[in-house]
Amino acid sequence: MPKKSTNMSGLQCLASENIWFDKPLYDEAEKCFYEGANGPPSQESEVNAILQDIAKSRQNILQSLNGSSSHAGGDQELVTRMKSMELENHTLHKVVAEMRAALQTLENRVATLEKSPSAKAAPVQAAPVKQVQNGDDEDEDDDMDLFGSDDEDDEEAERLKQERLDAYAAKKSKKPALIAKSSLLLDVKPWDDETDMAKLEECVRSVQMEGLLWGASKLVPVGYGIKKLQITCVIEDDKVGTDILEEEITKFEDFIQSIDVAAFNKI
Amino acid sequence: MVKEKTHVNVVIIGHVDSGKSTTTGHLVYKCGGVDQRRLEKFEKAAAEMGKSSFKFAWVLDKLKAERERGMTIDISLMKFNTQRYSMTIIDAPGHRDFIKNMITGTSQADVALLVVSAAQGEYEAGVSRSGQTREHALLAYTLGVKQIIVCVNKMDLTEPPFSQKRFEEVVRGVNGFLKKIGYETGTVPFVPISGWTGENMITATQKMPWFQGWKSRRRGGNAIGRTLLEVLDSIQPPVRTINKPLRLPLQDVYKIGGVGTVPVGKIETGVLKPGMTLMFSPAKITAEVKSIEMHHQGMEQGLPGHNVGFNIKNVAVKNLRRGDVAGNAQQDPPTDVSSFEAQVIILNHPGKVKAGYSPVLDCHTAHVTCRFAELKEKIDRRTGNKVEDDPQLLISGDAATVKMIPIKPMCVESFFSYPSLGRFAARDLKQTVAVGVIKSVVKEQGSKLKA
Repeated sequence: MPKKSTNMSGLQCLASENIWFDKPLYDEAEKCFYEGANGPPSQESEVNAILQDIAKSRQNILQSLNGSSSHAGGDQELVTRMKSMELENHTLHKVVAEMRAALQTLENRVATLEKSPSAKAAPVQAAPVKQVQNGDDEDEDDDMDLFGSDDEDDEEAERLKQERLDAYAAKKSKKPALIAKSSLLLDVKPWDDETDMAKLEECVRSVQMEGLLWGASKLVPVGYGIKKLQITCVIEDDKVGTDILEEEITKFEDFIQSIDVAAFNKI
Repeated sequence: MVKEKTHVNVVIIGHVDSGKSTTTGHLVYKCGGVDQRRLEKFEKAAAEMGKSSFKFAWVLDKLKAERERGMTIDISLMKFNTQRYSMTIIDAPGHRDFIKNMITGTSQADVALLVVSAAQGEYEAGVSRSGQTREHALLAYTLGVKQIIVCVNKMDLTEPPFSQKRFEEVVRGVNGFLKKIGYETGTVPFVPISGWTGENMITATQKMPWFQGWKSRRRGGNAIGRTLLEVLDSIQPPVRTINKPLRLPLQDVYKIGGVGTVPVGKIETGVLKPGMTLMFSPAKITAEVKSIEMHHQGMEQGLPGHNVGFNIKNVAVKNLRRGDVAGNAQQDPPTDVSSFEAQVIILNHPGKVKAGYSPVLDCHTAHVTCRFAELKEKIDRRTGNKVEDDPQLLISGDAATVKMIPIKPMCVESFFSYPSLGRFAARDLKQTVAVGVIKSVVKEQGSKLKA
């Protein structure tokens, strides 16, 4: 034993050193252990997840192939989009049909124009003009009808003109129609230098009608203490006439002698 | 110094899309008109909004919006200066009552500026039957605006841009119908411009090297111009009719305490002086002028264009009224007429006009119903040549010589002696059915024919 023990002491030393030599082994073992404990199951779950995904996507593919719609939100969106596209397609078809019809009428028009080479752009209007020319004075080479068509135009120029007019009409129709308005500057005159001009202005402004907007005003000296009221108003061309305006204003005959239009401009 | 410039009224005519407003806006914006403080305010605002590159358009829009709300009375918005003239712009509206206003209104146009678009289709539409170009030009001519300038606008939108070919095409077309209307086409200037980008407006452009400017030979030397501004500057000054006998149509008559009777009106021709004996027609009253005032300031004399008030002796207010004409009792005094012969153009009459038709005539400040007593002859509007004797009826677009009889006393004059007292608008159904100029009048006393 003692011998053994002496040996042992050396061995012990070695053995104690062995711990260090073996460290990689232990490490390996530890690694193996941990891998054994955690690794395999985790890998397995990952694989499972992938498999599940594959299955899901397979299902998805299947379902989308079958055209089923009740699966996911994303699909619904797609479907609604498709529906709107179908609708759009429909309207486009309609537009094409309309355009075809329009083209047809245009073609017809061109055909009629070509048939009657001397006819003007507007055959209906041109016809009486021609009659007048033939009937009246043949020697007079000037076109009597000022508002009529130009006489020098040949067919080609006429067609070019018509084309341009059509293009213009097309362009014009896209533009929103503006309401034509005018700006008026009115001189409103009292009876004498004692007329209450504030009251007079009140009377003028009390005149209300559709398409009429009263604007700024001022008093302008005329002479001998008389002042006149200058007042602007904006009128819509189609709704307000100067006659009716004058009529309405001069109804206040206790205050107003007359009105004059001092300026009349397009807006 | 600005005040000394001759004043000229320019009426801008053209089709809706011709770019009238942009063109006039450009002139006003660049040559005076717009009040500097307001302009600076707008320009600053434009810069703040990062719109400085579209500054011009933006400011124009702002000004338009302001006008749409009627916020300014400022007529200076429509004024600009050339080297020789101070010009006021009348931007002709499409309003149906504008024609009447152009005839009887206070500001008569001296020059017409016709704006024609050269853009594809727009020119064609403008001069087409339904376009306004022809009608406006015809009216301007009929009513005595003998000077016309044509600007061929939107040259930047031709195909290709600034096309000489297109310009020449438009010039040919417009020349054609101006000639038909009666303008001497050799003297009508044509300028290719772009009101939007400013080409040839104020300064000559490099983009149209083919345009060498406009030249015209006429009395008082040749006129030349490369830009619209130069051409406007080269017009002949309006004739001031100081040397003619006095004519002053009354607008209003006031009774002023401590002063007496004060008629007010615009002097059309001649000179009004204190001490002058006036004849009023058709009131048939004579009176002496005691004093004259304009804008509350006493005056030694009133001249054509002045809107004056004057004090007369011994006349009651009720004896005078709007529509009466004052003149010098010693020099061709005004008289009322028993009948007159006029050249009329039927405009918007929905039906047929026959002898006996009695619309209301607006002539200077008078407003009197007159009967178409006799349709004498139908005429060619351009040449004035007879087309038909004693026509049975007239329709829209026809021109004719007619004898007219006012149903109550009225003072009018021949257009050739007193233009503003010799043009009228006939109104019926709340619209202008005819316009006309008076060729001769038959005076009440002596029935002497006056040319």
